[in-house]
Amino acid sequence: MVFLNPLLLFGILGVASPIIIHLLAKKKVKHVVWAAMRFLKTVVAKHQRRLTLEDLVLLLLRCLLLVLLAVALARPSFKQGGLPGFGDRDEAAIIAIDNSASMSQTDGVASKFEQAQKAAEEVLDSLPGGSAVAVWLVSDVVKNVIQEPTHDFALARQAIRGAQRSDRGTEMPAALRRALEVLRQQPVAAKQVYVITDGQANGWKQLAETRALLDSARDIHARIVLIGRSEQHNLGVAGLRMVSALAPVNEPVRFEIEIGNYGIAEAKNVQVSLGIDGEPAGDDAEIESIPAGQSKTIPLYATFREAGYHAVVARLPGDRNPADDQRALVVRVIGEINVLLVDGNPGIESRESEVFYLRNAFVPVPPEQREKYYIKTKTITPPELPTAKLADYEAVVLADVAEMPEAVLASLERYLRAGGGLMVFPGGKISPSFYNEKMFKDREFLPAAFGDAHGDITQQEQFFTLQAKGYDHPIVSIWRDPGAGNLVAAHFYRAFTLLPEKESTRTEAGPPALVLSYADGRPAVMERTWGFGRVVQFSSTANNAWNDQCIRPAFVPLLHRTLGALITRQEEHLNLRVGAKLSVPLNPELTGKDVLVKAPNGKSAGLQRVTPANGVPLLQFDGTESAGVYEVRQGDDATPLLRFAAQADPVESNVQDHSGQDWKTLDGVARIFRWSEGTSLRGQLEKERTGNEFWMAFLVVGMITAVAETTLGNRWSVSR
Amino acid sequence: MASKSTSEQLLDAEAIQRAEHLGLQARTIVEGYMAGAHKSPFRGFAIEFAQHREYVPGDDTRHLDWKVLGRSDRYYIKQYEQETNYVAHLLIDGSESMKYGSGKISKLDYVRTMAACLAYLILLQRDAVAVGVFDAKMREYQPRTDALAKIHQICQVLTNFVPTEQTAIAPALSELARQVKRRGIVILISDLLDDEVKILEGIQQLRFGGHEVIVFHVLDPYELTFPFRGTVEFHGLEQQGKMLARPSELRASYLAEFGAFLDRIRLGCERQGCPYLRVSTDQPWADVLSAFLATRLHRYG
Repeated sequence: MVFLNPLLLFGILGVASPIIIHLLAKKKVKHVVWAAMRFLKTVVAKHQRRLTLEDLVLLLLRCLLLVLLAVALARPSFKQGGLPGFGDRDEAAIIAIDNSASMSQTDGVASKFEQAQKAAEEVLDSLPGGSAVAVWLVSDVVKNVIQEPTHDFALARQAIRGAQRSDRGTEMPAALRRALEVLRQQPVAAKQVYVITDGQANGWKQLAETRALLDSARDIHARIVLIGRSEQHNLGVAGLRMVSALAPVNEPVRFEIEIGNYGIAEAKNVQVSLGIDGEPAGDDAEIESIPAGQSKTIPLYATFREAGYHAVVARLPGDRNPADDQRALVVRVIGEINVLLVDGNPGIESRESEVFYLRNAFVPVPPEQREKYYIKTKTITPPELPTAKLADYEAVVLADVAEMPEAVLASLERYLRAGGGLMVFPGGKISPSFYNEKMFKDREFLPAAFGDAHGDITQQEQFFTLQAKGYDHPIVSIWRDPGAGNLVAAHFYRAFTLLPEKESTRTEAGPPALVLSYADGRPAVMERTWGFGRVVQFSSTANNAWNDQCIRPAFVPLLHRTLGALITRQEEHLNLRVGAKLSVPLNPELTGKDVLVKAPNGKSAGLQRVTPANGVPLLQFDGTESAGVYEVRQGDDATPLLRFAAQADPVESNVQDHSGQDWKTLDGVARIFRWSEGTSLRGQLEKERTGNEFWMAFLVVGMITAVAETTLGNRWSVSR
Repeated sequence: MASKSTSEQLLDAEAIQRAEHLGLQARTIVEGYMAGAHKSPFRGFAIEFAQHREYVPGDDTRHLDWKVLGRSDRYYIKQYEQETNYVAHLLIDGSESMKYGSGKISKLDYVRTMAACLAYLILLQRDAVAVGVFDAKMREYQPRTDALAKIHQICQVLTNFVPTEQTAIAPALSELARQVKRRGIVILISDLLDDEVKILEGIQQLRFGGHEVIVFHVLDPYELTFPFRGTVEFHGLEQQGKMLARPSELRASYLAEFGAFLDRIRLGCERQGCPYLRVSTDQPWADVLSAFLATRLHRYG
């Protein structure tokens, strides 16, 4: 048994009051000279025993009344696996509020996050005086609003009220683990962790792991408060991606929008729209039906009228989980793409040039339209490379370039670091050792080393082909659709063996990725990111010296998609997962200047300084807590310098929670409360913490005692 | 008040005025009823010689028996029979218990005035009065006199007496019965806080002696109501020790016990044909005298 107000137990000392009153009354004795003493003596002698007994009974009743009153006010209660000992006042608690995207679910009045804030305040109110409390916001990360438990409840309340929901995913076990670590260091006996969450099954999928975690800290009491009921119907934009290789001005750009039905019933006639830069829908479509638990992808098109960074937003009609009703993607719309072709083997005639086919493939239009075409090429020879201004080109293509001086390599390094694209085609003139030493080993530009060349161009009947299926890389993903043709038709007679290294030593060098392989499984095309740029390495020539790929119809889209992959490398940095850090190169003129980042909710996310890193002016920003489009502006400029988008984890759209049976996994290690507004969480917690209170019983007995005392007192005084 | 004489202190003008009126009426009634019909039960100064008694200061020298003085050189007073005169013995309790008074005056103070009034009334009716003050024994005694002028001596006796002893009413009554051979009226004025059986025996003894006994039971209002509150230490008069009590708890029992005592006294007196008058010291003395004379009227019609 414990007492919720143990200080009031001192009221028991009040039992002394009847005795003190008696003693004080004795001190106030009046002295009377009395004649009829004989009768007084007779009366006293006759009733003395009864009087003493009655006085004793009345005294006991009065003392009992005071004891009962004191005990009732002290709120006695029986503990049910609660805190040990009487001194429960010093309690350390962590209130962890789930602020993941799924907490945006609303019942039409308040979102689950708003309800969670109220629940957190009730938890705060339920804590005994003298407790210390920390307030955390947990999603896939832990944001310590108040990291260590504090006795300042006003601060904690302020932190709760000022908390903001994020569009992050949920990863509860990690938050719990950290909470337990913090609580273990608290020098108090009573430790509590309150997790206030929507109980989304995806966020709590590791219930067994959670159980083991909590089981390892039995002295810490975990209480999980589940807010409301999960929504049974939810449609969400699960994905939005640009399918077209490039987004040129005034060209229709294809996007694919994936709509997920996370409800328990089939969704019909789902309207999907696509808008640009906050403008009304540019294109829309209706999905006839999406079965429960499944998703459907539809293509929609957008046409951009201006070059620059544009935000494309896919929208669904609003439902009770607004967080996933739209998804944004930032696209860099290209007005003109300049490609520098470095011809390592120009030949005598132009047709013999190493870049002849490249030039035509990049600009696959009649000569009279070349000026208007959005891709422009310039061909130079390797000796011109040191003087070329690489920053003017979106992509550089090295075609059978034998070797390059160190200055060119340094120039290429800066170019790649700042976001440039590089294509490398081998040929008969290249020095594999140069490439392997300088570009693969030293600078790690290349995703693979050139091994031995295999095949014989004189034995054209012994060709090999590219893979027939398994086009997983985005560059070649369009060939998943058989209607788009295939890459198998091309014959390869000779190619270098590409030997990738799994580990890279430079942080700027990304992992090597296979784009295409030959039918025998040997890598045909590989790529890697480097700095903010990308390098695509081919194993065979760009012209028809070692293959006939350049004369095949698939060569043009392959080349264009490869060019698109090089250019959209920068866009990868502009489309982040919520919570990810933005790190994007800006114009060198902005170095050292402040730019303003505006969050999707219209609020300013603060000034950020553009700082150089390895010679590249970088804008770094880590406040992407909300999904949507962010804008970067300099001063009051109307046109943003940059747009970038943060996208929520589509897993958050699945708001189904665990069944009661699932939650039973945590029986014995955590108490689960289901709470909705209108019910007293505080009462439940206090009751749970301390068991059933039974002060009412004491009060009733006390009242009976009072009535008995009054009745007997009156009766006996009359009878005397 | 201090400048007033003793008699003025004790005599209440209003009481005496009312008593005179009733006394005159009573006297008329008594004289008319008793004359020639019965031999007076009282002894006084009348025409027919009855006996001698020794002279005491204050006696009217007109009644000195000069013959006896001449023969024996002793002072004797001649007493005569008179049909309507009587001797009233005012027997006043002067014990310590009479010192109690919840108000401004004690029972003894009240009784002093009351006795003086009665004596004056009796003398005014030309009856004789003797006054005795007793506690355990007769402490002061003013022999019978019918001289109104003696009221001052009576008042002197009443005023000067200071109680020091316990009550013993029965021996005082016995002593009176032995001393007074001639029948008369014994007016007992007391709080009767003594053994009621012995008191009643004493009264019975007087009754056997042919005396008419009138009992004035004088009590303080607090003794009748016991209104004390809180914790009270009662210090008993007449060496009865002390006692701590909460009177509010005992009130009912005390009143029952005291009421029973009063009933026993009253019944005992009534059984012996003695008028019993309970007097509370907050009553006006005039009321007491009226009650006394009313009693006389009732008795002798």
